[in-house]
Amino acid sequence: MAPARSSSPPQWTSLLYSQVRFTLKASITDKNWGPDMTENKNSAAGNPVRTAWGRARLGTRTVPAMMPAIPLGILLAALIAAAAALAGFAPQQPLLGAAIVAALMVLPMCALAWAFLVDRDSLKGAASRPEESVESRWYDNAAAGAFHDLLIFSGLGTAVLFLTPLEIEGSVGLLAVSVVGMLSAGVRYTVNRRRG
Amino acid sequence: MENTLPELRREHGWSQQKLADALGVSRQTVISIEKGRFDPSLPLAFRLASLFGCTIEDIFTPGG
Repeated sequence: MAPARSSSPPQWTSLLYSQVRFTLKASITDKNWGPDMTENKNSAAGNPVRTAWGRARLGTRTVPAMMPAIPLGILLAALIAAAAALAGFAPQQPLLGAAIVAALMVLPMCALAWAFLVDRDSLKGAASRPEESVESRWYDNAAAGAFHDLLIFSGLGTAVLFLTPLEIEGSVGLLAVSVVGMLSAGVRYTVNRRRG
Repeated sequence: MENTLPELRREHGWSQQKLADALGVSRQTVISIEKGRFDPSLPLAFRLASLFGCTIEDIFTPGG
């Protein structure tokens, strides 16, 4: 019955998964199970309303999660764009290059900021014990399978590069590993979900 | 594992969503348990038993 725990999900998934684990751990410690173990309180203290995008805690009060997530995402995208310009991305037109990087990064960074800031107990329809839900099992199985796929892929790839004159750039190789890891985890999760 | 969860739930007049909310899990989890495709954790099994006022053995039986 115990799910496989040896997993190495891709960077993005790992980051979000860590946040999910962190928030659910916080929600577990915030539980107030009654004598019959059937009732729990909403841990979004002072804000019993659940919304589609949830709320974020700022000190003692809560605000819609998108309110701090959007400016933080824009700031992160701007920092990445500045770093890209300083690193010599598009040296002929550094401003245009930075603008393109910022435009491409702003949505993912806003999403990342939201994932880190949102109090999951304020999300509409969120289970209060996601670690005991079947979706958690699907994710664990998919992550464990993806880890083994990555081991096989990187092992075979290393052998091919070692035994043949083929050469690839490090960034291309890492991109390939990331794509394989994400595809593997995504496909495996979907298969698990369809099986029920 | 086989289980009598669908019968127990119907006896109490509970929907899958209501049971899921009471347990703090997703509705899909209740569906998967009822179909025997997902074995719940021990704490979840204890909460189920407590919820219906019976023992775990009354709900789950080996096999299937």
